[in-house]
Amino acid sequence: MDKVFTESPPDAGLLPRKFIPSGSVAIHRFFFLVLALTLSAIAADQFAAPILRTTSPLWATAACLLLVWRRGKLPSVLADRPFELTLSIGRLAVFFTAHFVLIQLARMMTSTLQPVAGTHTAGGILVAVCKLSVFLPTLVLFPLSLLNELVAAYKYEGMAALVVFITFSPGRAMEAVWPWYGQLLGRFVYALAQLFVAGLGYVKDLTPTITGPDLDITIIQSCSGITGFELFGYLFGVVTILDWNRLSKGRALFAYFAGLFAVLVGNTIRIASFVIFGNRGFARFVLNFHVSAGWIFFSLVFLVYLSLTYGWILDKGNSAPAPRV
Amino acid sequence: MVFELLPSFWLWRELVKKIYLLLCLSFLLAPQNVLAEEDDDSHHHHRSGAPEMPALGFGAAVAIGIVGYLVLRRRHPSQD
Repeated sequence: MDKVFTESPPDAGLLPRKFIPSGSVAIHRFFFLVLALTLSAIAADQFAAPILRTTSPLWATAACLLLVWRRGKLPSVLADRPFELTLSIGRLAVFFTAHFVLIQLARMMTSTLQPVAGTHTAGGILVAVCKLSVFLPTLVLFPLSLLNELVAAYKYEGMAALVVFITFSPGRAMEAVWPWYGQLLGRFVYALAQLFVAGLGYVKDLTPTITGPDLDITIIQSCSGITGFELFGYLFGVVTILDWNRLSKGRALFAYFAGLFAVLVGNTIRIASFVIFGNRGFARFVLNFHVSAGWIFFSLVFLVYLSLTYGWILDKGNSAPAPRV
Repeated sequence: MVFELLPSFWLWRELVKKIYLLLCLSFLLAPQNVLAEEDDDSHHHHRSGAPEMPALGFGAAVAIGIVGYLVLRRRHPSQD
């Protein structure tokens, strides 16, 4: 009986082989893991050393992580280059040691620096620097040889994280500019309401008051539109995360800052409407519902603004989502 | 000694995605640090300090914003 030997190899797909991810997959995995480590480490830092607490680094890292996740596979030349990105034990050891040292230093200095935290003094600045230094250990996780490629691959996600870092907690900035912005806001509200209500007066103060026949409106700092900023940030963040692969990044950035300006304009109209309605027979209604109505108003401002800009900020040439890894 | 990024991490990816989505939603829906401004009725006029707003209003505003956005999104489908 003849034996038949085949020289053709078995199906290549059946051969055991080592999985070597493409450049796209490897970079995506690597960056995702680095961000997850960073987020966890920052949260641990703030838990162990309460003086380091601030939400901006957490928000920025979480935003970057979500956008990297949404980005998925990189549609770039990196996808054609098979290589491996690794995290060495040495780098991880330095990373965790650096966070441990940071926590110990922060705990040691807590009693000294706690009283000056948040003040405009050298000590206050030192505390702020310590709060931001939680990002430094992350640098050791990146291999220098691939740093340029990583920056090129994730520049948009990085920029978005930077925007979140700078603008997501604008309370302190608003606090700093309130003395002059409060006057500006009060004057605008007064000028606008005066067109509809006779007999209004303006009392100049740190918290300006618009006096009227039936209702006086005092514009306190929390009326500055800061809550509208926050709501706009949350909602625009949802839009950005869900539509990240469809957005024209430059236009989205412009639309974000223009939207913040629209919120300020909307806030002026909102307070003016309180003055107008409050002095046109609806004082009780304004007193009862101005709080909830304010949120709904800001939500409507967001929707009107988004309906006007949404088609524009979508990148029509790249509206198909990138393939997910 | 160098170790490759754990393949198991990739297997857990779906779970990680869900956890972070939940985290994102919980951040989104977390009540804001708000204080109600007291009304001062001791004067002839009513006085009103406008808004620091309660979490209920914030939650309703977020819900309205997201639902409105999703409706808008359906009108601009992706061109797969």
